[in-house]
Amino acid sequence: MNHLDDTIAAVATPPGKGSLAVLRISGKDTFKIITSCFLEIKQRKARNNNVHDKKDYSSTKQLSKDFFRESQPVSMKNLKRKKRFYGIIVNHSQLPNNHSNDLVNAKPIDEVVLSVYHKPYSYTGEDVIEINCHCNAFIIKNIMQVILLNARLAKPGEFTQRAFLNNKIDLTQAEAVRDIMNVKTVASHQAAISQLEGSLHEHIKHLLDELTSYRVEVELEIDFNDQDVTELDIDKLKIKLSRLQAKLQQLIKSGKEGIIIREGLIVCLAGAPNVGKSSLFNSLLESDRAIVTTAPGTTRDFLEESLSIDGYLVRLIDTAGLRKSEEYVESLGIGISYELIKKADKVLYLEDSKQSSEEDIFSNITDKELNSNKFIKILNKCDIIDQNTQCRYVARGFLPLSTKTGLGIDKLREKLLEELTLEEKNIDEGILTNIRQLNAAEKALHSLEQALMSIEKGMGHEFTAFDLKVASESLEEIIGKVTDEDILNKIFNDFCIGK
Amino acid sequence: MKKYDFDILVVGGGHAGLEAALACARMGASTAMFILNYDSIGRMSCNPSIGGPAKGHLAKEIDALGVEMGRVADLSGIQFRMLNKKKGPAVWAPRSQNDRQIYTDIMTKAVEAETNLQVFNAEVSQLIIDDYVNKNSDSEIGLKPSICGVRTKKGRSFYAPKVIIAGGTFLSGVVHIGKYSYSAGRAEEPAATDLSQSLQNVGLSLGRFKTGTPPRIDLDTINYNLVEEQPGDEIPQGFSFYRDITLRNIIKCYLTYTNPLTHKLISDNIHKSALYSGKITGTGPRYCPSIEDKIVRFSDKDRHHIFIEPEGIKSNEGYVNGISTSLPQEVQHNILKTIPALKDAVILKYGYAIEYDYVIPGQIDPYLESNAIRGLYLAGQINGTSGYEEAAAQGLLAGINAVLSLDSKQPIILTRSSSYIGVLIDDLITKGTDEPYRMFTSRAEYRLLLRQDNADERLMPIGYDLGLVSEIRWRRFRENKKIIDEEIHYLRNNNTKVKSSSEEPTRLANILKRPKINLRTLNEYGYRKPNYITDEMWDRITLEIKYEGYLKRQAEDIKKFEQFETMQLPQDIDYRKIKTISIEAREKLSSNKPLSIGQASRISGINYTDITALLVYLKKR
Repeated sequence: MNHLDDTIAAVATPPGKGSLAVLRISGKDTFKIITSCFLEIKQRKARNNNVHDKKDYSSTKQLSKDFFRESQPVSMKNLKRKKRFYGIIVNHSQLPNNHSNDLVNAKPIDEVVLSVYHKPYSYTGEDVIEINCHCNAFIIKNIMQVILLNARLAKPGEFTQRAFLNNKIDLTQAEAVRDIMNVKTVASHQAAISQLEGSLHEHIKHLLDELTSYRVEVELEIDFNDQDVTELDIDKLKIKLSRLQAKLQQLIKSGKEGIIIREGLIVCLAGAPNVGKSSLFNSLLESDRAIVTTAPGTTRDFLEESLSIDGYLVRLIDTAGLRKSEEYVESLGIGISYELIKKADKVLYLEDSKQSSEEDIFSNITDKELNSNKFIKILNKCDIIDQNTQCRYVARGFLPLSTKTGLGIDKLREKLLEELTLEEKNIDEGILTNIRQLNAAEKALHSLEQALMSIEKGMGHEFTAFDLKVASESLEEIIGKVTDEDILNKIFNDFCIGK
Repeated sequence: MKKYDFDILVVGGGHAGLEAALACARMGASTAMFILNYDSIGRMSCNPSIGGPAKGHLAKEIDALGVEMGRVADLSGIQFRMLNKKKGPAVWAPRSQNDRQIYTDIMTKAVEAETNLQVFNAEVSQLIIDDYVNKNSDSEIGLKPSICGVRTKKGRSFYAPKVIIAGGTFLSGVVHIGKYSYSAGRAEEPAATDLSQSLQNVGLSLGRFKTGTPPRIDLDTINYNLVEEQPGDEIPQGFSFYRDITLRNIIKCYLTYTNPLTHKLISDNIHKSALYSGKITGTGPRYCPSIEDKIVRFSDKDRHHIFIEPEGIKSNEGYVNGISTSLPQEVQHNILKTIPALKDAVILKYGYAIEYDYVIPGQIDPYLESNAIRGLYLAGQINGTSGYEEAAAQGLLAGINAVLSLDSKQPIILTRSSSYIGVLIDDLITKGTDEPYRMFTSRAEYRLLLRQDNADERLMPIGYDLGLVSEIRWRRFRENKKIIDEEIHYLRNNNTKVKSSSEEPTRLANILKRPKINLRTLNEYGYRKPNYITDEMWDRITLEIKYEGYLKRQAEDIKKFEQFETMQLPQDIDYRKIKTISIEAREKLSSNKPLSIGQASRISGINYTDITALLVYLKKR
């Protein structure tokens, strides 16, 4: 059952490609949430004030320092003054404290336009803000994450539910709502039939059954401890819970991969200037179908294109060459390159034999990172590099390649494809395919960790039971309810209770 | 025009009937209680024990509300144990062994002391409905028929506007031992044979449950060298708040076991059991299986516990807990012979199974008043529950609400977030039950807050407002609470005395929150517990501080829960006409008539879309 006075949020526009998306927040904390993550941009010289005119989202990532100086947080009072606000959504969650003065130091996510509706003059009749942002799965996810720190993801039909509870919808519309909600249920039913979701359901059901059996052990100890039942071995329970924890972690990990598959693998090209990044960028694009037009960054220091490899979506980003630079504009661009490298799922790091040493270039990136799975090291210009040098590089894990002759490009494509193909096992177990499910699984994991903590601290079985119940409820959000009656039934069936 | 004889009639003088009658009388209603046998007022017909997990909570809640069960359990207690003491501070559960005779005696005295309460030794056979009542004086009743009295088997009529039925296992009770069966409400006591029919005649549907008891043996015939002793707690803790009752451990219980020989004997004779010969059709409780059930269902276990519980200080009788049975008498003898410690034991009373009628729950509202008949209340085992505490809790609530309704006051609902009593009644009316319903702590969502130690805080204010809690106890409750609150405040706002330079001074409460810190270790941080703080108070203080995070989270949950509880549903809704609700939900809501959205949402078969559609419909109205 949903609660009626908390604050809910959801993406209001349909999923898929488009230039803009609308995220909607409704409820009593709406304005508070916005004041904690929004910077209003007051005047901007030489730039168009309408966010809708721009086609790419990337420009927000290289907002200059001056740009920041022009932006400032809005107060609750200010929010009441007008209906539209233009500015940036920032990620305040990493700030040491949530003081609004610090917001200017927070990491920007996207340039947005806010539409502010005061209660009761809104769709739901509550305070509502609609965020018009750029339609990009990555951006939407990041903004939602910031909002969901203080709000709850709305359930299907919930905005409408609030709308008619607050007399915002007339009778005919209201009576249609059940039908609408039923349609949604049918739709999700159909989705569940698909193999992936079907096996996900099975897998989570197994996890839930396992969790339920542990809950039974604990409940048994509390309600029947004066009876003829074996005493709960709390250390054993701890081990079993840890195992369940690992399974949940795996589920979440594969879920994140699953979401990558839906939303595209972000691949970033990096390396010194003139090493051939842009050539590789073009080579990959030429041979594969580009599905979106080139989108240059405003300051022209990086490019993003989407391409499809065997039907999987890859978002390829070409960055400014990495080197130490005294020149202000260039150093800004390089800063952005580092940011992109950090955020990317995969980095194609290029060198040619003229390269002096890695440390010079990647002063901000450790060797450890460079040798991690995230980086694919490429030696370009193989058509003009002698065999010995090539061998040395290959020994260090480099993939030899020539953008000029096309040598090695297929190999690289194969490597990327590996990233995109799920392990057989994951397909068998199913993967979490949306943020809602991922959220629920993460909540379950969190509660499970708390349960382990309560055992660690010797707090008493009822507290462990409490955390396990919360964990169970989170998983139930994905597949359906386990009632207290179910627990008791299991106890009566499996244990000889009663004097 | 005939006048009413009484304000309230209570049918039955067991644990439900008693608490109902006492509550009514003490709230000022002139009350009559009908009992088949005057000597069996408040009889413990099963084992001589009160409490245990969740049941002990109920007993303490009853005491906090101001009626008798907790007090009499303490006074008649001959052994006390706090269960779960080592395991869960929020689910400690008091349990007592009681002297069966003393329990009945004290209850009888309490009944006799009430000037507003009159007891009749009679069998009630019929309900009197409606036509007698002067309709003009009560014109707002509408279509619903009202109760106006009862008729006894001998033909005498008693008239009253409220009737509480607390018939226990007596409604068409049938006792089974082996292939023999006879009509009885309890061993050697007559059943109420006509009342079931009368209940059906007024439109209530009945079901049939069964339960059972083990044999009782002569304690002098046990081989005490072969049993394990089970003593009470060193410091006995009971059920009642602020009554200064000295608790004593007078007796010990004993533990022994069945063995493969016993199991073989039972298997060989299973066809003679009333349970397994097909004689019994009623559903029994799975948490309280007969020994036959245990052997059949858990054949891999090579032994089962047998607890021997003395029935009283002056009695030689021992209750053989663990071998409830409906096997023939000679087989019961032979079972004991297979157990070394009980080889020579003499059986004083044989075990038996009993079948009885109950009113399928869901036909009453949260006030325990029948949906069909105005003024008719049902309480106790008749609602499909089992256990003294469950019965007493319902009796108390039915009594309170009958009086409130009589005085045209708003009746009370205890919510799931306030008490186990609330959980019990809500479960009955929203979920129903397929077997005799027993309370477990896992049934309570807000278990961490519904504790035995804070039952006073949760319920005494309600009991006091109703006039059931005396001024003296109320004052002591207030003083006690003040001390606890002040000490918690002190611990939260005062720092430790630094004992070494490496440690920063910090709030005492923060130290207490650390694992393994207790009063003794807290002393090392410079805290001195004032003398006026008793051990019980300190336990409470520790719990509130140590588990603050959990308690807060649970309190948050309760806040959300109560939002829906306070959304009232008008009683005149015709659910059948709400087309947007599924047909199943329409039927369930029509028969259940929930009082709030929260209650409606818990009815089995009602889902989220139904509730949403219902909310829409309400807006439309």
